[in-house]
Amino acid sequence: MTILLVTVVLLPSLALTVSNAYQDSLIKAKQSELESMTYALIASFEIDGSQINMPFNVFDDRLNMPQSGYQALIVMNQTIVWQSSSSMLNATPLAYPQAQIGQSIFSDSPNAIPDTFLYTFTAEFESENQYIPIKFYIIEDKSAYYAELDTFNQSLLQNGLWVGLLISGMLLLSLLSVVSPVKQLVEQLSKVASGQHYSQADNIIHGDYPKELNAVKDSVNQLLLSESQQRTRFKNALQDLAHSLKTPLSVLQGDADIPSQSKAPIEQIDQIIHRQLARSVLGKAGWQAQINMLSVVDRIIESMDKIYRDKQLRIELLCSHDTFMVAFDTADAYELLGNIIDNACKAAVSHIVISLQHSSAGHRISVTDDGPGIPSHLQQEILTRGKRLDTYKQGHGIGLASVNDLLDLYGATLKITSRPEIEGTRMEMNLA
Amino acid sequence: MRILLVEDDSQLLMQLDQLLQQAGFSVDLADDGEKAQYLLKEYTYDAVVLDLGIPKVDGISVLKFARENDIKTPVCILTARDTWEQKVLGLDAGADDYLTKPFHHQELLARVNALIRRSSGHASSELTCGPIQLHLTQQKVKIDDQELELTAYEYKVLEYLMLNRDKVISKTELTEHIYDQDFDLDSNVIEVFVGRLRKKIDPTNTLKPIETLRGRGYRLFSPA
Repeated sequence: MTILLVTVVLLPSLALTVSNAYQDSLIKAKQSELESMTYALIASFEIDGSQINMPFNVFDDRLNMPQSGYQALIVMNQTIVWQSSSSMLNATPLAYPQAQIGQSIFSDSPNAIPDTFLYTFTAEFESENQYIPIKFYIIEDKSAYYAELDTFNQSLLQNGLWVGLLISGMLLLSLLSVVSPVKQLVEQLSKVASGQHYSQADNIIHGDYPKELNAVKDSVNQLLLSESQQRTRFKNALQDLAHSLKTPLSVLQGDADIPSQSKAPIEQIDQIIHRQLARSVLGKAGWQAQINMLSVVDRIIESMDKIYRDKQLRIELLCSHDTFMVAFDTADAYELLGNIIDNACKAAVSHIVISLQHSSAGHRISVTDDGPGIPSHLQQEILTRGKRLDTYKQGHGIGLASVNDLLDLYGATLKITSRPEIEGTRMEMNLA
Repeated sequence: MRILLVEDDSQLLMQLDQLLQQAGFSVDLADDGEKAQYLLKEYTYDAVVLDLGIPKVDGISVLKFARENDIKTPVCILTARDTWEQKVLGLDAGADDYLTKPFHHQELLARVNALIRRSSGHASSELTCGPIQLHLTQQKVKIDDQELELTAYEYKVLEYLMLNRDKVISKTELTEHIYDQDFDLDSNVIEVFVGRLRKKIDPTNTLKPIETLRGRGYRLFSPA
């Protein structure tokens, strides 16, 4: 764009300016030239009474030769009293510009004689005790001027083209040397932002950049690293807090001497800790790295095989890709899919199908069980805070409420389809 | 059944020890990962209850250590870190089940019983051998649908033999699984328990379900 601007707008404007400047300078030179010729003519002019004396051939040869392009006239009392040998004008001097005594007029386009330069000076001569105004005219045909201007413009155009090409080339090179690393950096940043780069310990943006951009790269990497470390520290601190709170709760819950009315508050405290800590450790970052959801699902299925081995469930995984990359925090992915698949395992009679698909709208993960299904009026309630449904007797509503939090955080949606539309229940998540 | 209980909180450790003992288990205790690794290497357990947040060596490392040393004892992990990532990590490292803190004591007992039953290849918590019926969670024994009164140690001996039906069980193995590590081992006591058990199960001495293999141990088999 910049190069186009320079080539199409800047260089022609520059050429036009130079051409105009040259034209002005040429006209100024013509004015000086015609002025000098006029003074030479004045010097040759003599008057005696009503008789004027002028040599047949004047000093400047251009006024002696016909078709030289130069002509001279001397006008007295509106009558041409002398004209140079080169002159073939028939115009009436009344149509010419009239200068005041002692004044001159220069015109590069007089109305009376088009395509000429005209210089006139009115001098006063004394004759027989009276002063007579005499007008001197020098007229030059513009053809020589046009030829000179044309030559200059052609030369300017030719040289200008080369200079233009040279400047455009240099500009292109310099722009490439500046723009290319910036573009590379922008590409890297957008990859990091969309989660295509995955690195937790090392710097996230790689590659060699000019000195100035290296500083930007280092700063961005430092920012990403410190943000990641801060999140990890925060998560660990909360996990430690959970551990510190829950072990004494276990002791309290197991104490046979504890009054029965204290058991409900203990359970309530446990639920609050669980729920609030689960919300606090949700780990979505501003720039989220991509993870392979397929391996997360694989590991969860292995765990479910152990947890529900007595039910002898058949868990089928459908995915047409070797990897299923989605910008998601690993712990959040385990929490989201762990809760959904765990609930499906609790509800299922014998069979669960987990399907992972990429679509134009994003990534779709669905978990379908062959359980008793969820009544339609309870389907929306299932994700509300702490809701516990009889359909999932072994579950705790907190798990599904965590799912709701995660879906909100990642801008994902959950669609529940159940009997009678299908046998069992399908939970379909659409991740952006 | 002999259980290794690993928990760093002394109050919870004592509470669970009492719970498991009352449920008829012999319990060995460890309050850090190093002790747990030592006990796992030195003794054979029927199940391990392992807290993940323990000092010196963490629970996941203890699990990995056990599996790397070919110790196949079923493990139930206790964790306060109840995220699915932590649960999957524990199960992936070799645990067979998990329980998040705080938990109901009956839930822990049910999980431990299920682990022991599954590890011995039984799908149901009710074991049957001829006219003998043994309910693992209720700890009840019936002969021809008549409930039998057994002492805690007699029950332990019968339970171990029924879980390992048709296998030869040495006196040492039997002793190790019904007593905890602090008990002074005396093989004569086992003989006394087996003798009493035979009289209670088969007072007429017609079924003879417990066979003595001289110099090798005992074997429970299904009477014809």
